[in-house]
Amino acid sequence: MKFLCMTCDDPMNLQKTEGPHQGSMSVVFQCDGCGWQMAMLTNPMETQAVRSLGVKIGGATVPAEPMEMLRSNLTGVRADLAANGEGSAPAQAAEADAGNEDGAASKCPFSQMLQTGSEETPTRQEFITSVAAPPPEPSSEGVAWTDAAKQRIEERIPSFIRPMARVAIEKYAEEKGYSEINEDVLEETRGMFAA
Amino acid sequence: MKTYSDIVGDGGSDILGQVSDIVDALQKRLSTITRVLAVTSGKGGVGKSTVTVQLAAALAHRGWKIGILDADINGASVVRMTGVTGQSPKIGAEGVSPAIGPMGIKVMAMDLFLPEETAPVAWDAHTQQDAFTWRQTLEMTALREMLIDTHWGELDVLLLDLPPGGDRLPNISGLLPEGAGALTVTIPTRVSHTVVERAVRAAKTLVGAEMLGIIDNMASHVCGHCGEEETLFPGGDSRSLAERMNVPHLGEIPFEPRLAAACDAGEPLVANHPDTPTARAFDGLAETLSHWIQMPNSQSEIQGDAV
Repeated sequence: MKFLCMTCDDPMNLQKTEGPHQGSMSVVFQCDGCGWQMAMLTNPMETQAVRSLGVKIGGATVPAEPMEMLRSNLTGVRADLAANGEGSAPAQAAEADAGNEDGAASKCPFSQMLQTGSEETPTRQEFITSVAAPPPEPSSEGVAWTDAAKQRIEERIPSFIRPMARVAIEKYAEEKGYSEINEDVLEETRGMFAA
Repeated sequence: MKTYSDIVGDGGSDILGQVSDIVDALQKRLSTITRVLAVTSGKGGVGKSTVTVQLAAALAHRGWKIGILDADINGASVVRMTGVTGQSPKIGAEGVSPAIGPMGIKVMAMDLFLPEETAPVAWDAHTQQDAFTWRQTLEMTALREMLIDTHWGELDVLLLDLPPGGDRLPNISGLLPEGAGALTVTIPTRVSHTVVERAVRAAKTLVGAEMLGIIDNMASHVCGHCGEEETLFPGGDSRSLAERMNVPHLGEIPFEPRLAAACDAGEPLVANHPDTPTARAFDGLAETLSHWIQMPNSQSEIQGDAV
């Protein structure tokens, strides 16, 4: 599955993953061009389908343990299996997954799906806050913004759609041959974003 | 607007890279195995596992290094038939060490991981509702892991005991290396022949593995008292089936009570009762396949009716 920023017509890149919470994963993608972010939220069946493939969302940073998917996902595993020393790695990985909803050390059903990075799993609120943070300013080399125009879109356009609106307005201005984006230009684009 | 094929990569997960790593691991693992042999049938109850285990024993009896992967995730029976029940897989740096059966036969199966012999295979999931949408995929992944992550070492033949169904062999075709072969097991009934013929036709179309031939299991019954062979199923002519399918008829395996007892006890019939008609039939089949094992991969056609 790939995601395309329709404003920039560029592919979006994965930023972070979280979950599963109640069977749902949150996977954030961002357009590097305009900073637009979106989160893909999977339902439990979609989560399970990805899990069944034995691949990791966010990329595999460390090699999988032998039979990692099998050992992590079986509901009942013989007790003496992990006693063979090196065989307890999937369970240890699950223990490290502090974000799993069940708090079960060895039975996190989805731990092997996610990139096993070094960062601690954020809390849900931290995750939401980080996702909602303003994305980077889009690069605008050709068209300048007046202070009034900047202030207007800050006040009138919701933050989650602002980066995309900026790029679209700049493209409109460039196509029209305008040297700056002022309130008059915003009036012309009003139908696009109610700015 | 760009389409899916216009975009290179997947934005960060590198799923294709992960799949490529799996393929590399598969090739590396299979590099120490001379031949992979899938034992298959469209029909259930024809004795695939019995043929797999006793053929493995017959090959091992001839000095070949043999492994068995029980690919029947939910109906695994090879562990009991090889007498390795209770052995626990050892997990080490080179992978998971298989159980060791009679004559050094290496065994990997799902039930080696289960807490008890009759425990069902159950998978964690947020919900089991509509499990049909993901369960087969997950089980294929488990099978792939058992193939790749088992420390097989040097093997002459790795036998795959597939569950029944005409789709099973095509489903695992991606795991089969060059030079792999497949045996189809049937019994001499028209019902079995109909299902097996359909499966063989599908396999010949969809699978890269060489269809080595058809084995007629339970072709006769050996009397426990006088040793005379008598017809068990009067209905089918497996040689005609083989001719229609243009594959070799590799022979007939008689049924006898000692075969069933050997499978229950996890003992090799060819070693414990070598003079019985059934043991001789398995040894004849092993002799035929010994030629195949030694052939270069590009010349894998074998002659039928050896048993």
